[in-house]
Amino acid sequence: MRAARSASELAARPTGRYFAGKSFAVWCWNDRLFGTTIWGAPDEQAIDALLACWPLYAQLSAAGYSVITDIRRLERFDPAHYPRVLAFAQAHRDRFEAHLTRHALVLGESLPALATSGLYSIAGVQRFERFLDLAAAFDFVAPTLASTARPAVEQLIAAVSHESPTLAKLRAALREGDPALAVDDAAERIGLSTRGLQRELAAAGTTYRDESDRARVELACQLLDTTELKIEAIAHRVGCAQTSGLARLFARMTGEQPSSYRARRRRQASHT
Amino acid sequence: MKPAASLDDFLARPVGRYVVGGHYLAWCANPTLCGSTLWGTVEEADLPALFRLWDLFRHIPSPRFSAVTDARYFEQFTPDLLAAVLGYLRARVDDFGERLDKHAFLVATNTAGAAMIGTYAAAGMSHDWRIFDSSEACFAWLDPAAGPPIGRDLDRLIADARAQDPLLGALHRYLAATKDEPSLERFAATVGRSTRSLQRELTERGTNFRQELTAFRRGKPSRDDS
Repeated sequence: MRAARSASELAARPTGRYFAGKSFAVWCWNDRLFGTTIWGAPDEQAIDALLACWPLYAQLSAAGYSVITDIRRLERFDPAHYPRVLAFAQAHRDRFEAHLTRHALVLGESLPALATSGLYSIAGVQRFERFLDLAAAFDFVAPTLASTARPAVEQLIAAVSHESPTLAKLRAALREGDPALAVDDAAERIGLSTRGLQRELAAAGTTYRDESDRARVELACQLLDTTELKIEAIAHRVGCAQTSGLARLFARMTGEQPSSYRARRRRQASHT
Repeated sequence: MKPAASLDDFLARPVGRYVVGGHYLAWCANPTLCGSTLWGTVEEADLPALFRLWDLFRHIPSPRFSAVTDARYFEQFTPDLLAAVLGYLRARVDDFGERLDKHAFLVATNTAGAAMIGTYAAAGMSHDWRIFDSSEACFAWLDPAAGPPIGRDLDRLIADARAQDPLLGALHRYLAATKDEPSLERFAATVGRSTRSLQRELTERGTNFRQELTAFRRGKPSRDDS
């Protein structure tokens, strides 16, 4: 996707373009699929720019559109900005949802992410589904575009959020290959020594274990959501010798058991 | 409603009673209406009492009832408690679904209330729960006949319980005693703080000067804590 220099430039020629501000990017894959990614700790200027961009969705497509809002890497939601963002959401809710087909909110289970999803509910924004990873979000909003749009959006996010190139490569290797890859093998695959990889991950504020665990749980969620595989088989697929190992890992990362996650997601799906 | 001596005492016989703890007030107005109010910051040491409090549903004699979770004065969960709170809620999705008729959340306009709502939504609750920013609307939804008077009684109990906080207690005494038009600046001077740090401390408690003044003028809380 190509960069627009401003929100108005994006509005003028949206398809295949994005506008990136400090801590966020708004992208338009085509006139039916838009998204926003927010990361870090947006300051007042970033909030102003974001609020200026969001009405674009409704302006750009009156025929029906889907949206992906990705806040997995939002690190802080400054309480000082909350009243303004809430008032904005309340004021724009009806227009935003009038032609909305599907809206996926991709979030981890951190406080800023849960506060953002809570803000949606408080503002009366009702038509959104929560996802833990971008792949499941694309499957929900635009399954036919998942194989083309998702890699492009992931690449865009990594580039504009200044994600460490090593971290981006590692995440892609874990996601597309084996999420339980040994650290030595992962380092070799992305052309670094084990020590070099560990040093770069430490500089990016993470560890190999955290990245591998996250990728394993993301894959487990995807398999629980989209297949009928037994938990035991899913445990093996994500590199756990026993189901108890997957249960421990899953509970540590998500606060629930794989079986209750699957039951809950199916219950939610049957309600929508 | 009458006060119970302790959380254990309250849980043994909740109907018609309430209990006040360090960060909470729990109450059960009648066999089909109960609730809790949380304030301040919930830390790890508070979790066992909080979970027992939320398990109040196990002690309500009616098969189905309505509940209020009042988070207007709630400040925050420390981030490392989120997984435990989510785990607790997820384990009770079926229980809440079976027992709860209507469930109202009361929240203030702040990130703490939003985080509480987001946590509840992430747990995947399936029963009828709604969000309110005033106790009038909340209790009118729960029970149009009996609710609003119960809401007023509760607001008074909550104000009394929270007045045990030294800063809020001082503010309530100031509002009751001042002969001039109450002002944030004058109150800040009486408690030796800058207006900015006073505003911050009130925000941390999930309130602000205007909100306390409005509640005082409505004559709800018995503000004289002295």
